[in-house]
Amino acid sequence: MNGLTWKYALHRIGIYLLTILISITLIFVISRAVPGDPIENMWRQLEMQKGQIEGVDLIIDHYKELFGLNEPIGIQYLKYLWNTVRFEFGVSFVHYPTSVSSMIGHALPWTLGLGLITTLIIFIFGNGIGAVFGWERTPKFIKTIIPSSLIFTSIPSVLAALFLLSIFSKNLGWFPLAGAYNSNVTQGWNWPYIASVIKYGFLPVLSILLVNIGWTILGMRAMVVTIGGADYVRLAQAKGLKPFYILKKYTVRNALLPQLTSLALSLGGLISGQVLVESIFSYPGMGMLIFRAIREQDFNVIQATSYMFILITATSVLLIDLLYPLIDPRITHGED
Amino acid sequence: MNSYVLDVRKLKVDYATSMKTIQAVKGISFSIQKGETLGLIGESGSGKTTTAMAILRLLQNPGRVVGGEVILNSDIDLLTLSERELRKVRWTELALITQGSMNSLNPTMRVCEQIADGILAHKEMNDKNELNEYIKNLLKLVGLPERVFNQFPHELSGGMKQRVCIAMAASLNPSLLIADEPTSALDVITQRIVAQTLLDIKERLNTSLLIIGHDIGLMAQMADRVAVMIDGFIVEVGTMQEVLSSPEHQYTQILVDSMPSIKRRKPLTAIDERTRSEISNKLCVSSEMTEVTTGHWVAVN
Ligand SMILES: Nc1ncnc2c1ncn2[C@@H]1O[C@H](COP(=O)(O)OP(=O)(O)OP(=O)(O)O)[C@@H](O)[C@H]1O
Ligand SMILES: [Mg+2]
Repeated sequence: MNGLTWKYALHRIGIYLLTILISITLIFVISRAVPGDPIENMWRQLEMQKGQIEGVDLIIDHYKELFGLNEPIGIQYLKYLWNTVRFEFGVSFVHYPTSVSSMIGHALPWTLGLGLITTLIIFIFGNGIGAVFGWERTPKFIKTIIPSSLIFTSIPSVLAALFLLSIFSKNLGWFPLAGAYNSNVTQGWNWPYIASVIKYGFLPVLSILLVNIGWTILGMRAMVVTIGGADYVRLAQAKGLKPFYILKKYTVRNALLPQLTSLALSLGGLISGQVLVESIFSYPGMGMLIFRAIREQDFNVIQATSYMFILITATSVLLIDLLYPLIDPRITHGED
Repeated sequence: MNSYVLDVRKLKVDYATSMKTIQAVKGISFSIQKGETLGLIGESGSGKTTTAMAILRLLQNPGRVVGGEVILNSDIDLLTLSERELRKVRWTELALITQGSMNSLNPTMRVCEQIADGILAHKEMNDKNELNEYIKNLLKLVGLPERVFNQFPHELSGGMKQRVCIAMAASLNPSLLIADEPTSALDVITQRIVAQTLLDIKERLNTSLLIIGHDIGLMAQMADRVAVMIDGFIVEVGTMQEVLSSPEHQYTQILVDSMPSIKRRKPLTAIDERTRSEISNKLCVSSEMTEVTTGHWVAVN
């Protein structure tokens, strides 16, 4: 009756699939609309560096055949679509013959891990701290700390990353300069390895966190202040309920929904911030991968990683959408 | 003197903003006897809600009680209670039905949970079934179908929500119910149903009721006695019958005169701004009240 209904879930999933179809199509269209042809460009460049190559036109044509670029555009599109949904992205031009999916396979876990942990910390701690700041019973001296939580919010995460890197890694030497784990430790579920992953991930997480958590804190504080004046909170006080119980079940519970919405809205920014932070820390994730691919003009990799970023964003938004009705029973109401 | 459930003496409330101080309640006194219904009536902004919230110690910032006493059951001064003592008195002795009850229920909690948490805050009730039965019975008492038990506020109509609020307020059998415009924002038919439900519950529990409103017609049918408020003052207190049949104060006269009647049409502007400010200018904090007949008090201008 309440909470998550099938109709609601199917509706959201439908929108999700449509988003993905549109993004695949866009990537296809954009890549064909780019002037020039990556294969031809590559060989012409080679020619310029090494001098005349014999039969270059034949070679180019052969590669075009190989990558299916000579087929009608419609067939190309359908093939592209079919390959993309199977995560079959072909091979890297630059790191030939490594397959793009295996490159993504290595990078994806790091990105997901980093992103998930930062997002969870931002959401849980940001909202927790915001609720404390907004609560009428919090002592004044604690509330005056607020501005300090906002010092970093006005700078981009790249700068925060550079700042942290130069102080804590370069000058103090407390944290490593690059990478995601200590390569001298055997990988797997053992403590030294996990500890090194935490140590290597600490500064990247921190640089995204510092920049983004302030907004969550501010948003939550505002929501808690507003809802604190609502009739139902006043009635809860009239009932003689304990203040902390009221904060939890009446105020924060109702403040979380808009906070979840703003999280969904900020995901895109979080992810693009992470791309830059990863490349600054040489963190072997998707951000690093796309950054390198752009520099190397590795076409297939650029396309595949862009698609993966869209997929990650859309999936996160879908998950949040499916969470809504569990928090607020009114969400599914209009649907049935 | 000793059977008063509530005795308010010289209550003063200010809203002090940085710009100016609004004196919302200017030293009013009234009392409510056991089982009695007192209607507090007056135009918008006259300080009715402020009075109710001051009694409940729920004034919203920057509201402060700056003087007076609020004696409950002839022995507790509500205004001097510590926070813990106050929590104990709330809901067990004093219950509230808020103004504009459309937003009085937590949108993310089921009706049963919202009734239950008020009960559980004051009573040990380990048997879950017993608690549920108790709540279902309350809902039945206010005439709600059983399905409401498991529903969320947004699934209920305005009248149903208001009845949930009544059930909730009655759940611990308090000595005084304070209902702040319990029927505003409802259509006339629903108003009557809700008002009747409130009276039924009150009779059944034998509690006292302080009912706030500006609909003097509805009030006439509900209250035993009435207190008329304007501009933070009470200008007249008496039994409903006396005040309606022989209003003494000029403002009460205008108010009674403005009661709609289907038989006879009246001009809509019952009171103009000049008369109103004349009346309120004459009142001052030191205004005394005189007893015209037994129990019928009027402010001397
Ligand atoms: N939070 C507040 N801050 C400042 N002034 C307030 C506040 N709440 C009420 N007031 C002022 O106190 C006075 C009395 O308001 P109150 O809400 O008690 O009136 P009321 O009689 O309940 O009116 P209504 O019939 O419209 O509910 C008004 O002048 C109002 O402007
Ligand atoms: Mg009011």
